[in-house]
Amino acid sequence: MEKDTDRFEDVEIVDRVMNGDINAFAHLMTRHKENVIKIVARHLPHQQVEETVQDVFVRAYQSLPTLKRKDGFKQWLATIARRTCHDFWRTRYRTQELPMSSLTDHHRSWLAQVIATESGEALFTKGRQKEAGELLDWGLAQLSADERMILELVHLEGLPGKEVARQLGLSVASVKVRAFRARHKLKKLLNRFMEEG
Amino acid sequence: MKLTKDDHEKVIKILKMAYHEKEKVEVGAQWHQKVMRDIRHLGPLGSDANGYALFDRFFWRVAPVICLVMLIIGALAINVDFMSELELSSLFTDDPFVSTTIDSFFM
Repeated sequence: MEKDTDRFEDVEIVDRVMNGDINAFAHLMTRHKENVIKIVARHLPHQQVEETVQDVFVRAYQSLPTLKRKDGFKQWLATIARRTCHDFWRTRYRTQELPMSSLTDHHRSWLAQVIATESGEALFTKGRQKEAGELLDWGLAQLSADERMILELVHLEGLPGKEVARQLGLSVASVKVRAFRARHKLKKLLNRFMEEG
Repeated sequence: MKLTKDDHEKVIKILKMAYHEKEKVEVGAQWHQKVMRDIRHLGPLGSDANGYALFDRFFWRVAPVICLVMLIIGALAINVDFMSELELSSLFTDDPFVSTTIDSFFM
């Protein structure tokens, strides 16, 4: 939870940056880097995180004159981070540079075990996160850039549709339709994968 | 094997955990310096630096008006006959040289 003192400090630092104090921006980066790294790391492959985090902060600096509510810097920066990740995937999908990971019988039997156990989480904590991560990457790679971001934000992060629409610059109706479609598509993919075995 | 609704919920739960696991990543310290270098290159956000942002903000506000004016000018240009400067001047000066020059092009 963001404290009021943090907000006041943000407002003060943003004012200094806006008045030409470039070095003050380093304080904003130090204060918010963990949050930005977390957001970017959730959406992108690990090898892209560092470069994208740089992009996010440079974009934020350039867009600072357009910041309307200085006490909402944290949320504003989170929006820039998510939009930068969205742009990354849009470019990737457009240029067809998407590495298609494939799943094996090992993943199939792991998934069958997950379904068979009473509590699927137990398998996750038993050092089997690797399979879950690979399954997630495989599923997401088969969705469109928009569907991918919306599925992650709505179904995996649990953000409300209205918030996702605001963050990605889409309409609420569009987010709801795509969220439903993405989840349905993922379900179909998983079904097909399990039937192949 | 077809997944039931419950099975699917279970898988989504696991995928959620995998998704949140992704945020535990170590990032080097160099990016911080790179960002500051890029920002210094961009310059301070003084009045000059704000110029582009202000232009960007106000341009889109006046863009519809500019388009409307251009459409009106375009429509007027189509409806009003054009007359070259040469022809126009010939009307006033009554210079025979003008008419012979123009004629020579069409002969």
